[in-house]
Amino acid sequence: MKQQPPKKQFEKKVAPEDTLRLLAQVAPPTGLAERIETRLSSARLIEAEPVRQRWWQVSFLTAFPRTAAASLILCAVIGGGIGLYQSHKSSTLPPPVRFSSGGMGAAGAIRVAPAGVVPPTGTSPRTAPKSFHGRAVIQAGHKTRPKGVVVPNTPPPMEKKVNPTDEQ
Amino acid sequence: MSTSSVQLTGAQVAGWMGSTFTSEQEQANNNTAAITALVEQYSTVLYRVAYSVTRNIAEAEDAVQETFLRVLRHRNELGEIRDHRVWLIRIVWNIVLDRKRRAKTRPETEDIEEFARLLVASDVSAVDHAIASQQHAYILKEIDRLPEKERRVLLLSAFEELSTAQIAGILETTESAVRARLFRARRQLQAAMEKERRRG
Repeated sequence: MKQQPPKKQFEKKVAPEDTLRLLAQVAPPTGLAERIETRLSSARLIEAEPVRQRWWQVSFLTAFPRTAAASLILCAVIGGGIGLYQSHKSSTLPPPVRFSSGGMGAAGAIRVAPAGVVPPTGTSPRTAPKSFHGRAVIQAGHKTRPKGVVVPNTPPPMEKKVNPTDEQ
Repeated sequence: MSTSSVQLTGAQVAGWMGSTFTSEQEQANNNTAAITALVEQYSTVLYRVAYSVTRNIAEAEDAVQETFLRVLRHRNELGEIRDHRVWLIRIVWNIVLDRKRRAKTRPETEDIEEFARLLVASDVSAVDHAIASQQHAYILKEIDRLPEKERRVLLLSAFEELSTAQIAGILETTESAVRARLFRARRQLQAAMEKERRRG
């Protein structure tokens, strides 16, 4: 038996309409309609569940108890915050002002120090000289040298005539 | 001021609520039945329309499911639709085109030759099968080269159940535009086939 070349066996040329027809007649996968129904059933179940309402969708009657509770909580929070603020403020305030006499309000208030200020002992009066001929004068009461002053170990200065050559 | 307001009795309210509930339940049942009927009647043609664009079995099926989900969301408008076929095909058409535009994954049959082999009947001889699939692959490539508007009209014209008016409704254009685009598409395909015939 002669074997015909493939080209002669299949002489019919495919037309574009044939291709398009094949495209339009493709068999759908088995069970397509059942799977669609299953998916629709799931979607219906999800729809049937109670939907969370947005705040503008909630009616007054259903929202009143919730609104009242929320308002109470809010008031408690704000009140607590104000109370905390007040107590904190009072703890940082200075001690109350003592009036010297029975005056009214803060107009006559005079701040009175709790105790008098005592000057430190062992200090020289401000008028005492601090230097003599350029040298620091150590007061008799000083047991230690004052800070910042370097005093060389020299005998106390004697009174002598000023020689221009000594002055430096 | 007269106090002649109507006082509804408890029985009247219960009766009113009962009747309202019954009508709502009936409407829900009617909608479910209507959608089920649409699925049985149009799921196949919708799948074929989706497949002609996507050339992917899973994507085509997903598009059909999405179509009926949208029908479910708009079930209250079913009574207002005049032509359910056109309405449904328009929905699935827009879905597949939108997904194709945003598609990042390649189609299942990346190779057109591979896709063409699926189109040819399996009961022919292997040689005939190879030759036919080769020719179909060439035609599919030429169809893909067509301008977008002409290609869409050509694909929809393959569905015998769709008239020119219905195709115009799906594509939201006029009948004359559909005819003009169809004419140009077929002429371009004929020219391509002629060129191939002279070559071979």
